[in-house]
Amino acid sequence: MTAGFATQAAQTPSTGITPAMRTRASIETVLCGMNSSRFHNRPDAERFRLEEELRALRERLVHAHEQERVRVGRELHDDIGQRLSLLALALSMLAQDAAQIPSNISGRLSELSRHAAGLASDLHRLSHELHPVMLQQLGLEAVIRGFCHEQARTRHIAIQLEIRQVPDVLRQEVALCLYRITQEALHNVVRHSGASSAMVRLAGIADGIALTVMDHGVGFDPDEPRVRASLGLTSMLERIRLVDGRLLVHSKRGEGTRIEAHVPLRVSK
Amino acid sequence: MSIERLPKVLLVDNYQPLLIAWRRFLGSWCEVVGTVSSGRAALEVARECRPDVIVLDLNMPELSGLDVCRAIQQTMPQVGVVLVSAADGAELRRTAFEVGAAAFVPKYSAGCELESAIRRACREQPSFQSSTTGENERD
Repeated sequence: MTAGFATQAAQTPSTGITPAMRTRASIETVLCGMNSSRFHNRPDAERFRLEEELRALRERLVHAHEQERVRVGRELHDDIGQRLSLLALALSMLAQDAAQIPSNISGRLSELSRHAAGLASDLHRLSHELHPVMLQQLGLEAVIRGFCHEQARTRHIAIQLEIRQVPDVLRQEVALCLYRITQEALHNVVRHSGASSAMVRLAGIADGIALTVMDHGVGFDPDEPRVRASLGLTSMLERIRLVDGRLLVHSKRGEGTRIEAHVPLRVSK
Repeated sequence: MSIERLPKVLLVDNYQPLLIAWRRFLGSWCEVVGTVSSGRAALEVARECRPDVIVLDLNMPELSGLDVCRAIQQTMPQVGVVLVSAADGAELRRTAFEVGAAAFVPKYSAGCELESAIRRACREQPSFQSSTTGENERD
């Protein structure tokens, strides 16, 4: 069974500096310029140019983050996950070789095989969150159902899910955008809202697709920049802009949160 | 005395070490008629070898396991399909059965579940049943 472990090392950036890190550094540089006292005295055209540059850099950052997730998720799925499955199978085969192995050792090997299988299962869940390969295979509806089911099971939160009239075939960018927003919004519910339940609604509407994620938790002040950054709202906004959609965040302290995303299905791009 | 012929199994996965391990794992009670690493090759070999069961990875480039399973259902419905995947989940299992798979097994559970899944797929295949019965009758 040793042949199974001779796999190619996955490619990693040789310098350790990822495109996302480089883009983040560029954003910091532009932001420094925009935050200086001289910025407001600059001509409108120059301020507009800097704001456009910042917007483009943020778009690039979303892309770079997505690429990093894909790379890590793929490595976990294609390499480490497969090797763990192979290990679980090898241990199981050894355990079943009753003629040559004492029964107490066989029992221990079965136990180790189950551990390896459990590890492979957990690893796959992590890989899927990073890079939802099943989005292309099963479609947005099935993947969102699976994600909500998984969150409810592992995070002990009740999720009311409503999905209706979602087209079977969607552009991959649209499906990925809506999946990522659902993911981020539900993670926020679990981490920050204190709510024990949430509602996710995905619906095909006249001119596109509407996604709503809502909770009745502690809420927050959406105008507070630090809060926006920590909740990943900026990243959600950048994602939705890439597919010409719009994002509305309704929240108030003590009154819960409602995230609404709308993506048109006919876009000019 | 009843003699059952070995089920003919085709193994399909684009991860070669797993194909080698499966072949060894199943070899004592299956006739492995081929191991291939793409969906297209799976369809070609299945047409030539007419296996009873195909153990088919879901996530492959170009033609996915779901696509292959649909094609098998249309052109060779007598062949049973056991879909395998690194992933698991209710939606995935539902989709696997929707496209006509006889069983679904997460790869990490292959040691415990693959044998029973192949036997189940065989039981659902009338062609395998009749050929086995035929041998019994000849006996």
